[in-house]
Amino acid sequence: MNNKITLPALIAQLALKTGMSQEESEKFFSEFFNLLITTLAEGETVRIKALGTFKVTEVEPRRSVDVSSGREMVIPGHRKITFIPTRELAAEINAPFEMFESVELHPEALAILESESRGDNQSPEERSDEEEHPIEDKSTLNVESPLSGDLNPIDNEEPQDVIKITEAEKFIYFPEAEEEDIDSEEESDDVESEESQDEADKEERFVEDMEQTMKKSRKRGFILGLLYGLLIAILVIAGLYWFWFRDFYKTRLMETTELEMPTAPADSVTQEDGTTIASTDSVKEGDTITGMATGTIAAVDTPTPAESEAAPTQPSDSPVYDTITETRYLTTMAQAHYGNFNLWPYIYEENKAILGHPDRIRPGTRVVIPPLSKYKVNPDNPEEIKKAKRLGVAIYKKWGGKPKA
Amino acid sequence: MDNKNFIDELSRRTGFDREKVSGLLEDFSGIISEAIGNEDSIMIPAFGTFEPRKKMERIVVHPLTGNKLLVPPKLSVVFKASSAMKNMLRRDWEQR
Repeated sequence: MNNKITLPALIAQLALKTGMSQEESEKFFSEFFNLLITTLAEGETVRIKALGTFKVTEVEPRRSVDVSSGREMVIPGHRKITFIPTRELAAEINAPFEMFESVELHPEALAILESESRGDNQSPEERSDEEEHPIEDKSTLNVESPLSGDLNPIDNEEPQDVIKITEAEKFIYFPEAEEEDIDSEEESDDVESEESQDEADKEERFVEDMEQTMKKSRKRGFILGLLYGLLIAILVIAGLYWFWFRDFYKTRLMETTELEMPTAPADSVTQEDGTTIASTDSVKEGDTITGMATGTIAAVDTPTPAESEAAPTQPSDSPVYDTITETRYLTTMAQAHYGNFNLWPYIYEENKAILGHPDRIRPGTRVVIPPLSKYKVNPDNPEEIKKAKRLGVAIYKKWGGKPKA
Repeated sequence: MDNKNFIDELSRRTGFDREKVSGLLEDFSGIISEAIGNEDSIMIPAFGTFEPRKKMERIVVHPLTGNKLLVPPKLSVVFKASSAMKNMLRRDWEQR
C-alpha cells in the first residue's frame, strides 16, 4: 500500500517472474527505458502493445492567473507526456470495480443521491467534476468514455477551474484533464465539435440547476450534521461515565476479594449478609443479596448513576446503617448516600472504632452512615471534596499507605 | 514509433529476440497492474512514475438526451513524467 517500487526492485521482480538473471533483467530495463526516453524526447509517440501509448502532446501557451499573487501570467507552451494504458491493462487494474456499470438515474434517485453526497461534503469535488467534463457517451459502459469539446475550450477553462478546485480535487485534476484531452482527441473529435455549442448551453443550465439543489440540501445537511453531532456527544459522555465507573468498581472488587478471601470464608459472609439485610438500605438491595446468597463473588451489584442520584443526602435523625459486602464498600456507600464517593472518609471516621485498614474491611461489617451535617460537609463544594480526599489519604497513611497506589 | 519498430529496436539493442522482448514487456505490464492493484507506485529515475489513481463515482449528463448517469468508481494508472524528462522535452522544444 502506497509503497514506491524503485527500479532495482522492478528489476528483481522481473528476474523472479521470468527466471532470467538479474543482469539480463537490468539490461532489458535500462535499454527499454533509454529507448523510450530518447524517442519521447524527440517528440515521438511510442505505442507499445503490451502496455499502452506514451503520447507527446503539445500544449499551446495560455494565459492564466498566478494563484498566489493574483497577477496575470502566461504559461509558456510546452510538451507533455501522457500514458494511455491499453484496454487490457486498464481492465486488469480496474478489476476490483469491473462489476460496476454506468446506470441511468431516475430523478428521485438522483435527488436522494445528491443530498447524500452534499451532506458528505463531497460537493465541490463532484461539482467541478461535472463542470469539467459534462459530456459522456451513454453507449460506452467503460468509464473512459469520450469527452467534450476539442482541446482549446478545455485549456481556456483551466485557469479559472484551478482556482475553484478544492483540496480534494487538487491532485486528481491534472492527470484527468490530460487523459481526457487525449481521449477526446482520439475518439470523438469531429462529432463533438459540431455539438459543442449546444452542449455548452446544456451544461450551463445543468450547473445552475445543481447549484440550486445544492443550496437546499446544504441547509438540510447542516441540520442533520448538528443532530448527529449532538447524538455522538451524548453517547461519548455516557460511554465515558460508564467506563470510568465500571473501572473504578472493578479495581475495588479485585482489591477486596484478593485481600478478603483467605480470611473470610464464604459461609460467614452470606450469613452475615442475611442478618443485616433488614437494615435501612433499600429493599431492592436486600433482595439481590439474599437471592445470590449461594455465590459469594456472584453478588455483583452494579450501582448505576441513577441509583446514586435516587438516594441523595437524606437528613434523618435516626442513625442510618449499611453493610459492607464484596461489592459494597465505603466508597459505594458514600456514592449512594452522599452522591459522591470521595466522601467515604467521613463514614470511615464515624466507624473507625470497629474498622481497620480501609481496604481490609470484612464483608458483613455493619457501619453507621453519619449525616453529612455532622461533619459540616457540603457535597456540592469542590473544596470540601478535596478536604475529604486529603482525609482519605491520611487514613491510608495511618494504615501504612494504599496497597496499590 | 509503433509497437513493431519499438520491439525491433529494443531487440537489436538488448540482443534478445523479438518474442522474448515482447514477452518481457507483457511481464512488465503484469508487474505494473499488480503494483497498481496494491496501490503502489513504480518510480523510474529520469523517466517518471506510474501511480495508482482512484476516481470517485460521479454523475454525468448525456448531452443529447439529458439523462443523468451514475458513472461508477474506477481505478486507473497515471503516468507522471519526472522533472528530468520534462526538461528533456522542453530543451528539444526550444531548439526548434
